[in-house]
Order: sequence, then C-alpha cells, then structure tokens
Amino acid sequence: MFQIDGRIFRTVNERARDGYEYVRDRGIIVGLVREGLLVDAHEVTGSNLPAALAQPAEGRAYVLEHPRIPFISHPYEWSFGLLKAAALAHLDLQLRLLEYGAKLIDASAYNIQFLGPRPVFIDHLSLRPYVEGELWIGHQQFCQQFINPLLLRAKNGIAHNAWFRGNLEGISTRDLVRVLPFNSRFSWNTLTHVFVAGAP
Amino acid sequence: MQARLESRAIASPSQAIDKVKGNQKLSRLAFGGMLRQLRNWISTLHPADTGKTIWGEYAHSHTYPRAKDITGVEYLESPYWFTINGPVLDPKSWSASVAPSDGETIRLVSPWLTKKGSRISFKLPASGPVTLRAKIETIGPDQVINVSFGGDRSVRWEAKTGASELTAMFDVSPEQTGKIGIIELNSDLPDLKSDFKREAEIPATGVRVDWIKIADGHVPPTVSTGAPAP
Repeated sequence: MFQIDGRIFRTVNERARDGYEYVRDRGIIVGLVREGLLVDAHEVTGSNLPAALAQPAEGRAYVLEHPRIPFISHPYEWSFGLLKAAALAHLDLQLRLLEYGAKLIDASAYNIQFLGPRPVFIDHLSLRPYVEGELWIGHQQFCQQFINPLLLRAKNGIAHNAWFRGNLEGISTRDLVRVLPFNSRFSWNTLTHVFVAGAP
Repeated sequence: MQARLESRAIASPSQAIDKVKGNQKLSRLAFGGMLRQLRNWISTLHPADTGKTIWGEYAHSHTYPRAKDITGVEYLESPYWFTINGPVLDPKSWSASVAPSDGETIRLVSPWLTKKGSRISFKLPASGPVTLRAKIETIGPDQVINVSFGGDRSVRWEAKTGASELTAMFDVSPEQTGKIGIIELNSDLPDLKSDFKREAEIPATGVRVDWIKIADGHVPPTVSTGAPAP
C-alpha cells in the first residue's frame, strides 16, 4: 500500500495477478463494490500514475487506486456491536463470493474498515477462485478474530478489547475454552466452533 | 469437522497436511451451509448483562442534548437537510448545524450564494405570527435578497456589505404550516472566483446565511429537504 499526495494506491504483483484477474474479469469486484461489500478500486496506468509509481518495477502487474477511507480503525478498538457487524459483513461477503465461484483466502478482521457505521472489506487481493471441495482456510482465523472475542463478551461479560490488543491475532480458541462457562458447551455452535477446536 | 481438523493440525501439523491432501472435503453446499449457520448464530449474540458500569451512562451524560429534547421540535435529522437550489460557488463546502442553546436558533454555515435564484429553503412547523431573523454575511456590494414563504409571500431584504441582521414578519396561516420558506438571492453577484481554495479564505463576493431565528415564542423552523416551490 502506498499513500502518495493524499491518494491511496496498492500494487498487485505477478504472483497475485491470476487471482486478481480471475475476480476482476468475471465482474466480481464490480458487483461487490456495487453492493457495498467491497471498497472501490480502479486500475491506474500511464500518466495517471504518481511519479513514485510511474517507473515500471519488476514483479509489479497492476497499480490500483482506492478511495481514501476517512478513519482507520482496528478490531481491538471496536465495540461489541461493531465487531459483530464486521463479522456479519465478512460472512455476507463469503456467501456472495461463493455464488460467484470465489472465496477469501483468509478471515482477518483487519481487512474490514468502517465507512460511517457500514463495514466494508478492503483487501482485494484476498479474493481468489474457489476450488470445489476445499476446506475453509480462514476458519481458525475467523474464530480467533471474530467469534471468540464476541463470545467472551456474550458469555462472560468481558470486553474483548484489552485481550485483543495484547494479541493482535485475536483470542485463541484454547484460551477461550478455559474461561467460557461450562454450560456454554450445550450450545451446538459453541461446541462445534470453539470447544471441539480448542480441546487439548 | 472443520474445527476438529484444525485442532489436530495444531497438535500434529505434518499428519494434518497429509490428511488434507487426502480425502477431506467440504462441499460447496456444506461450506455455504456452515457460513449461513454461523451468520444466524452471530446475529443472535448480545453482550452479557454485567450490571451498571461507569461507561454505561457515558455516551448519554457526555453528549449535548438534541434540540428536539429541549424544544420538542425536530430541527435537523441530518446536517444536509436544507435545500440549496441553484449554482453556488462550492457546493461541497457547506454544512449546517443546530445551536439549541436558546431553543430558537438554527445555526447554518451555508454555502456562499452567488447566482440569482440560489436559495436556502426551510419549513415552519406551526401557524401564527412569526418573526424570521437571519444574520447574513455579504461579501462584495450590497445585495437584494428575497424571502418568501408558502410560495405566495415575499419580503425584500437589502443586505449591506458585511454582516447584516435582517428581519421578516410572517403570519403563517394553518394552510401554510409545513410549507417551504425560501431565502433567495435576487441578483447575480459579480466577480466570482471559480474555486474556493484554501488560499482564498473568503470568496470575492457572495451571500451566506449564518443563522435563522424565530421570535415571538414560536417554535423554530425545520430546515427541510423538501424541494422549494418552483
């Protein structure tokens, strides 16, 4: 990512070219932007490139420019409500991508920012083609960065912020299992996503 | 299955890789179902009730009261709730806010009106005699400003160069309640600057409304998005 004269750029290198072109050429990016799920981006070439990016660089396939997000925030700063909104937005994006034959390669909460109260996904290079039958690679990360912090507040009444700030990858499932109330095991979702994964 | 595989993967990474290379599959249907189930579950989560904390009332006790809470009248749902019609020097440079301290004043930082027909519209919520006072900043020569209400009354204001406080008397009939009032520039202003850059802190010429006040004990107007009468 580059910030040049107040403009926000990102480069797409050759390794990411195929994945980017797959979602771009199928209109997936345009569709998601139109739905408000993904932050806008357009390719910048030639004289529209800032001087710092004007010279061709080895391994650079594309330069994208994004609109500037007025305020950058992080999941450890969010309230319960914002984190929940971000989690739902992430799942909405995943479901829409699946319809398009694409997926997210990770489930980082840092890939979501807020435009006012509206969550929007910002990492175009996390979008890749979906391969039939593959496991959800981002599940563990989704648990650590979304589900576990939400459960900590919902089940224990403890805000996630301090814990999340101390461990930027989120709250590990094994740690959470040690503090969740015993009766939360009787929830099917908590059992399958947390206790099974966090069992020693 | 997904969670169990992850747990095993942490315990024994090499075995997990072999297994994934093998037969472990998650069909598109199952994957979509898991995502939907997660979504439904997360949407039901709420913070546990932990009783009163010092932050529980923080937002309420550290927020200025809404104008509505003082006067019972909704002033502005959004700072962009007043209509600007006609060309203005920089349509992006304006904003509006409410100064509810006396319960009567709508404070506006309006755009600089520069073209004949540029207007700010507003709406009065109650009938009866009202006095509309507006402070108007004029840069450049004296200007004539029309104030009309309900489309059938018009008052001429002559705004002198500098800041003027101008008054218009209206008797708002019940039929006019809720209709649109208009403050409209009645002449073109000369010597416009084409841009509103930082280096020119004020435009060469223009008219701007600083505030509107309703006297005589009347409730203040609502500045409205409603399109002004043609």
